[in-house]
Amino acid sequence: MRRWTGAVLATPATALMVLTFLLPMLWLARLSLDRSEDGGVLVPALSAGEYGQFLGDPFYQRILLRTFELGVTVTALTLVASYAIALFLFRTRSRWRAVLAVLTVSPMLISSVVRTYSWMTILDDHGLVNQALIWLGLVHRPIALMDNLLGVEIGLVQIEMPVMILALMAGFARLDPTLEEAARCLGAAPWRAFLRVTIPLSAPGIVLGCLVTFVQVMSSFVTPSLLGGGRVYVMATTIYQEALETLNWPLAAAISIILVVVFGACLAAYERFARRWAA
Amino acid sequence: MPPYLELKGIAKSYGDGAPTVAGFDLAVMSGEFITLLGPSGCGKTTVLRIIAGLLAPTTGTVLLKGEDITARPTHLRNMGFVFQNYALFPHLSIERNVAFGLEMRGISGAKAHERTGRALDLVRLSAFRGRRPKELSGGQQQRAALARALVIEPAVLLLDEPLSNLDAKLREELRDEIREIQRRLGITTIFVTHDQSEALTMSDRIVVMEGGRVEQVANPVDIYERPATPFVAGFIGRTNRLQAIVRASAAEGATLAAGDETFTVRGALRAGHAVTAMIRPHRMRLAKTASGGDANVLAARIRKVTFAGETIEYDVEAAGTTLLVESPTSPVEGLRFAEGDNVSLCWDPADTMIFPR
Repeated sequence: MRRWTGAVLATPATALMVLTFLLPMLWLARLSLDRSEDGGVLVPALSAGEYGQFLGDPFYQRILLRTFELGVTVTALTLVASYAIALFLFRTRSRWRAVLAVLTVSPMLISSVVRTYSWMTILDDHGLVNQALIWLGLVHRPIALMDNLLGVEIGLVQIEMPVMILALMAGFARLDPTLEEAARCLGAAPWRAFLRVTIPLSAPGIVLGCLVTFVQVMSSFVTPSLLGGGRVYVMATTIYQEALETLNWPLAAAISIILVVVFGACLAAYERFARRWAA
Repeated sequence: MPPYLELKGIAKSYGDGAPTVAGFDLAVMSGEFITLLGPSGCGKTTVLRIIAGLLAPTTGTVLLKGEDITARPTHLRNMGFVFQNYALFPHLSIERNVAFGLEMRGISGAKAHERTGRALDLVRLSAFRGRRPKELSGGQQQRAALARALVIEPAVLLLDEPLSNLDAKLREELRDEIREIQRRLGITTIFVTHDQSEALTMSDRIVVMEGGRVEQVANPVDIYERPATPFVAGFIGRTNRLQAIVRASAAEGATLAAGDETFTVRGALRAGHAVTAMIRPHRMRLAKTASGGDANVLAARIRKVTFAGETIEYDVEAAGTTLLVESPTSPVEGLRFAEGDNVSLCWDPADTMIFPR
């Protein structure tokens, strides 16, 4: 009996995953091999034509590259912005710790659409930042903080920070403050102790946080559409356009599959890292 | 000779609570092995961390070779610190752990390799140089931590309860090993422990601490035989306490009364004063009948007999209180006395420690 219990308990979740994730993905993969004619007519086929179109066209190549760059840039900036906060939250013995932790994650409770709109009121030409800069006399004309790549990056960094902080804290388990004290006694100045001991020992958290952030940024849609002002093309917005505006479903499916392959590669790389630490 | 390391008027307090350490003074000579001994929370680790610069004292100064280092940051103090939980860097091999301090000093290549090798030889870990810390046993990890602290040729070696995470047998082995290495290198060492036997066996001098204050500083023999305070007498080894009144006193000794009984002690005391007399359990003997000589004799009754292998412990009732007597065992005599026996309790007047009440 005992050995069936696990299987029985796992059945509902497995069934749900197969129905809502695996089958649609297979359907999407199949769709990506069809061909599309003008006006959105779907022609069943078994061709890699859509993949060829995407990977061969410099326009689409740039989109893939830009999305990748956006992922790397936003992940790096998010890491830098989050690390100190995560370390503080992990180490503090303040009785406000729980409150601070909740405050840190609280942005996740608000839809990213709402958060992106609030960023628009801040980054707008007449927004908080530009008004402050003009009032301080630092600039004479508003600087463009949105409807461009910069705006998308600012918005995404803030949106991804709670996730990054949670992942970092989850990975800080090996971070014993005694180790930094040992390093300092051995002659390491505080910054050297940080580089040689703190950073390497928090690598599990850093890699996990970067993985989650990178994947989320690569597939982000709302923030690039709204803060990009329709001028920033990334993978997700392109999928949306191909599917709902150009009505080229096979191409949209092909781009989706390419994105899934990129995620798979990231996960595989993470798996190798994780195994090295476990060893 | 001026002291090598000197702590003057060290105090440390957090917020407005009671100070962790107050009025701590200590002068350590070069090459000395000093133990800070006391129950947990007595402030001994705080003192050690102040020497290392990991904590700043609220008041007071730390002098090394006459130089004030109170404000010097930890990484410029050249202190070898060994932590209770080993604190080896888990992401580095044993060799890289030991070489860490050399690397921080810009020593690399053949010279670093040679010094690291010597340090690992010293703690008999050369065969494990390529291993990760968690692949080593607790004792091996602590020896690696010792090598890491010694390789930098520290000004002072600071040991924070390095043996308390190890099992009893290993603890004794490593205890002797640390003492041996310390003597051979002649390195000034401050050792923190709550274990009196570690303190007695390893130290040149012991600093007994309680409630953030120094109770006594002396060599192990004096700490044991001539404790300065009832706390020291009670903390080191076991003691019986007799509350007594001084009846009469002369230059050579005094007569004290406890309950219905009287006994004598060496040295003059002031008549009429209330004192606490303390006698170690193994310095007392039991006899069937009172034997002569100048020994103190009290009428006693056995309440409990506990056989402990190397000793027999008798709980006896005498002078209106319960006392513990520890007797050596022998195959001939077995359990000499049984519960309820009336016996004579004897001890040498010189074995009585007197403290004013």
